[in-house]
Amino acid sequence: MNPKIKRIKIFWGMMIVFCVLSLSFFSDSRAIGIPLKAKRVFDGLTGGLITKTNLELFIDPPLQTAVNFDALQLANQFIIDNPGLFSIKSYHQLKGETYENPLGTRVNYQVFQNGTPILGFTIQLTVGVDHQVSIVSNEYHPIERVEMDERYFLSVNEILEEHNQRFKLSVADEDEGRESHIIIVGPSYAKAEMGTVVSVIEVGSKQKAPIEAVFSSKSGQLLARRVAKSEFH
Amino acid sequence: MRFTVFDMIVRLVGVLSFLTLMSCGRLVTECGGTPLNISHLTQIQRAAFTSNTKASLVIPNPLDATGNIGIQSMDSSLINALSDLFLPNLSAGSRLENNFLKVRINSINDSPEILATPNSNGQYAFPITDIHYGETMAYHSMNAIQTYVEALGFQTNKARPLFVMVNATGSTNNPEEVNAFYSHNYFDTTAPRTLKIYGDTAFSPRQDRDIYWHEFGHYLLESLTSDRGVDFAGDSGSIFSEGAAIHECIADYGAESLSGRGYLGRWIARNFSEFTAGSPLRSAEDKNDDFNNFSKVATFDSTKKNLNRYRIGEWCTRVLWDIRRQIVQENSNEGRFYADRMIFAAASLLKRDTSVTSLKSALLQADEQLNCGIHSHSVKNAFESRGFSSDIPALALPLKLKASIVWLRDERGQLTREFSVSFILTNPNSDRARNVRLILESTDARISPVVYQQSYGDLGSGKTVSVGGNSSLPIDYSVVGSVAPNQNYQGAPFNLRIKSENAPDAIIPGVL
Ligand SMILES: [Zn+2]
Repeated sequence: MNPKIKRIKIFWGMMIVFCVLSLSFFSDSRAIGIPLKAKRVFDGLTGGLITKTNLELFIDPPLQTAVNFDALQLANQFIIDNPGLFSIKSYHQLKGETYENPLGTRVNYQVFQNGTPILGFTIQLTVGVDHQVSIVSNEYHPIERVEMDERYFLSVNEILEEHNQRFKLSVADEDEGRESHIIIVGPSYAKAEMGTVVSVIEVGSKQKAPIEAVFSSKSGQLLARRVAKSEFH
Repeated sequence: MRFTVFDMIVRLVGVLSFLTLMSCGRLVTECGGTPLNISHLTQIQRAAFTSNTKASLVIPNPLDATGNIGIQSMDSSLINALSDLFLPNLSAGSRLENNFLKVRINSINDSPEILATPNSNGQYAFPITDIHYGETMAYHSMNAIQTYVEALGFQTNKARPLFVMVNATGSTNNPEEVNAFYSHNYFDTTAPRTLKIYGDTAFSPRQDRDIYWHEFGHYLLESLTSDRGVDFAGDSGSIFSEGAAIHECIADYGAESLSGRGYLGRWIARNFSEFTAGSPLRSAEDKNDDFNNFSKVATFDSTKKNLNRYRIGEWCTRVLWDIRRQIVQENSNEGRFYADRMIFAAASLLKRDTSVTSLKSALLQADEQLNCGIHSHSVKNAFESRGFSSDIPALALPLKLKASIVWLRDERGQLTREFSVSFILTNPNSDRARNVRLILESTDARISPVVYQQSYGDLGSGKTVSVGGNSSLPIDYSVVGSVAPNQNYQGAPFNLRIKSENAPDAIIPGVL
């Protein structure tokens, strides 16, 4: 073996041995989640042993829910400052809400066109204690403006007629008379349109649970349907 | 003072280790998360609240509370198993509800007179067989787990109320049918979230805390992931997906970890003939069954038994339980809380239509951010030792698909405006393909994918999935697209895409 390579191998071998040794040396390091002001302790490598030694650090610290900065403002600014990441169209509106999470304050945005929500278009950002903003998920897509003139919309009865009465409206108490609108976008963004959301039962079906269905408000086309999560059947 | 040679060596090693750590170790102080309020969490976990209103309940259910596997809800001896509990966070007034959580019997619109009210001592105390007992159990259980996740530092979305119906109407009219539905109501943003419990049997699910805690997990996961659809495909009607399995996994894990029992559903399992009395519905602890090894729950075969979300789901809870066990070993009093925080934090990172691979990455990321990554070895090991290797061979060839269009008929035999595809899908490679999916992609505004994705698990070398026609799998296992009722769709193009985690995509164009 080339002596130079041999020396490098020995060097790295020693480094690994010391890393492992250091773990046993400092095995009285403390539990995860120690406060920032605690004295510096070392912990290293994966799978290291964690034990708790300093009880006084754990005396019922109040849960830090209130943050001393405005996460929503920071997240808003992040979206504005990064048009390359978020090419938000002028006819889309974002509504943000903040939620605490141990990984950082989450800011969840829902996307609307003229007040109508766009299904599945959510953006989730996280704001760390260092005010650093990062993206958790971004389902936004710069789709074209959707036709929203209600004069061209079919009524729920007209939609059901289009389907030869294959579906009937659910008569469950909480569904009765419930009808709402949502903008629905195909998974490959080829199409976005206004959808009418109703709870229906499929005539003749063994499945008695109502289906949450979305029909095109304009053509009556079935765009999506969702069944509740059923546990045992 | 004299130094022995041994002293010298010890000191030298100490100094060198210190210096080495500066380069290879990390400071916990650099990334230690917010401390947890352990006494508060312990209080919640032991249901040791105080409040003005009390309840009398058998916790978590008659079977686990007494250890008597033959016990039934009408047994008079159960009176000895009742414990006094508090019902915190109730709104003023004498109903089991607050601004978010609202307990009902049959439906959202139940008239107030039929609902449970406290007795003259301000106590919700009812016989176990009474419907009001179920309402009390629902409030106690849902409030306890909600309080717990908040104490761990997770704020959930309460913009819409969550209604719990303990004897819901609307599924079937058969009181013997036991079930539970959770609806997040993504489409109708004006609708509340609902949890509907069915089954008026001797082992009614409404008497079991496990059911409420599991169902809460579905709400929690949607809430943590900001409604982006961890199982978007499953919610849109696909029969199986890894996203659905992970939904069940997180829901089970939360219930199992908070109870500390490592299994759930011994009470409701009494309703199903395939379970012997006393067996749990599912278990995160090892059992002598299929759920210890990934290949047994994920490999496609023509019996279609693995196209069932609870199989990978139960396997996944055993992986999470291994990770939890490791953290509890490190810190016996508090480890459970740190484990739950890390696992729920990982869940909050999951993307749309998630997978087992993504869950593993999310766990590593959450551990890195919360705990300096000190459990990364445990996380990797938990997956590897249960047969889920990240080190799978990349396949050279895309999977092969032969498909034909099938127009669907409704339950009355009439043609609908929805089409599906019958197909034969083959893995021509010499190794298995991981997480195989068929996706319908619209390339024409006339076509809308309705059930846009179906999953078939891991497909072995040379193996075939065949759906529709005379195949072993009915057409329900395929994707579904729709066209408008009065539109000419002739010539409308679409794509079928076959995806797998280790094979190149195959794209097969189609025309209506
Ligand atoms: Zn479930």
